[in-house]
Amino acid sequence: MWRVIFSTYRKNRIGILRAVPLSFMVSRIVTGITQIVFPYFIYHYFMQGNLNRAFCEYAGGADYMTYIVLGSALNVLAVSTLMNIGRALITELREGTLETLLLSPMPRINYFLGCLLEQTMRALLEFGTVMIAGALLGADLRYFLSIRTLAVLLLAILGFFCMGITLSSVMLYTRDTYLTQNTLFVTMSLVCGITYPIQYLPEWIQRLAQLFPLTPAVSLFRNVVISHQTMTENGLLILQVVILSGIYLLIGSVWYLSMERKLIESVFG
Amino acid sequence: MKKILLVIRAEIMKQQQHEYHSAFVYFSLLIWPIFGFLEVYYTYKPFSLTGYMGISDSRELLAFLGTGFMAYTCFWSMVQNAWSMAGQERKGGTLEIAFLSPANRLAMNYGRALGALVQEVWMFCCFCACVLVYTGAVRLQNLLLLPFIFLLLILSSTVWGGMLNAVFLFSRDAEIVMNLLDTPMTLFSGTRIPSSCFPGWAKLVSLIFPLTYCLNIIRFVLEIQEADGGWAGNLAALGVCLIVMIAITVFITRKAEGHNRKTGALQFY
Repeated sequence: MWRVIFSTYRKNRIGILRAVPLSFMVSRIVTGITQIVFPYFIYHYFMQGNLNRAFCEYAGGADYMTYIVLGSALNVLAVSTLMNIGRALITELREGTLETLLLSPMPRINYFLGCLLEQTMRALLEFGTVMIAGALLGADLRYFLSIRTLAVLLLAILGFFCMGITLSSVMLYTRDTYLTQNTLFVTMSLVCGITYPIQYLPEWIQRLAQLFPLTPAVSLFRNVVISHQTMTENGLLILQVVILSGIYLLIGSVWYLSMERKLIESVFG
Repeated sequence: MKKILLVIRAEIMKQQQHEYHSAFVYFSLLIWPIFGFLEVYYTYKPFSLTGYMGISDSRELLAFLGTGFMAYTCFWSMVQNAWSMAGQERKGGTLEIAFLSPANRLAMNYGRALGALVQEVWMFCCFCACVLVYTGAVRLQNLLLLPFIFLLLILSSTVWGGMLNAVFLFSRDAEIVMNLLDTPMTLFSGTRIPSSCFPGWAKLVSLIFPLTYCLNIIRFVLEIQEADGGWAGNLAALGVCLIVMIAITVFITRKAEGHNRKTGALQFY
């Protein structure tokens, strides 16, 4: 098991080191920082700190900038994990290495775990950059460095990873990355409560938002970092992330396995 | 003159046949901008609107954002298109051929910009116009202003796009320029936050972008917001800005072509 994971890790790492897709990283970091800077300007210069009572209620008395920074940073983590996992197979297809991959007897999940391991360092780098930018803009990150935060991040990465597996099947099926990924990310930043509490949205959209692992993950992350709550207090949110992960993993693997046979024919044909 | 028009027309037709052949463009041209618009609208939800800067309720906010997004989309589609077109022509090898032809270079630049503009923005501009009608910013009395607004937008964003097209003649991969240009332009020119509430340094930055003046004029004539210096002052400033941009375009194009004649290459790095 570990051999496949580590060889995938090494293969991808070498590819990244030799031809870094810098523009992807830059654009994700820029998006993350933009998502902080706009609310910052609105908050400080335009509205001059004039928050309404509903926000206080929805956000549980959180500080506005901290609320925004945590949301945006986690969104960056979600986007880069989804992108790196989701695009893994179709990149192999485009580069012409998918055939070799399909011929090998390795369990497919180990391949994805290798990709995950490789990309997590990069994703955390992007996440960290956004967090630092946020701290400079005045986010209160007192409780950030703790075991609990680490646990939440790992749980969130699990959720994004499982969703990434489904995304990978979607991309492989449609042979498209551009439209799928951008539509997904635009939707996620609109409905998952990144820069505002989702309670402001219409009710049916709020329900729709619960389908994305990012929604519970981001509330969990905020509860732990802002209000310093324990994991047991957030049992329901954790359960939601785990259940969603299971569902996405199941859909993704079943779909992929049923596609694999046809894929071999069409790739070789 | 006739030749110049011919070149512009040819560039527009080329673009049309090259890019707009599938229904999926509706995603990138309509759905994504609308989602982005809604996201910004909801970002304002945590604040209580006090009437500062002429925005006292959500209708006025919608009108403000509607004008902002409409103008921004025109300018932004220029940046994006200049980038993608430059990349495709380089890969296709047609950029060099175009430079061998006797066609007027400026006409080529502006034709490229104009072709993209009309194609890319009409759908979203319709959406914005609907928003403006819904919010009451556009009424029967000032309905005639709309064509003038569109004319103003088309003229200034074409000049802006022509300049960018010239800039992209210089480099092979300028995606980073695109990423870095987007945020400052959106932030400082007042598409989402009124630029007149900014501190001095930010106001100074906003003076670089022609989009600032366009927005000031549009919002002034639609009575959404007061403009510093009235519409005449802003129009004069916009004129100066456009002339400077045309001068830069001419200078860069000549420089790039001279370089090309000497070395045979169309890039500086």
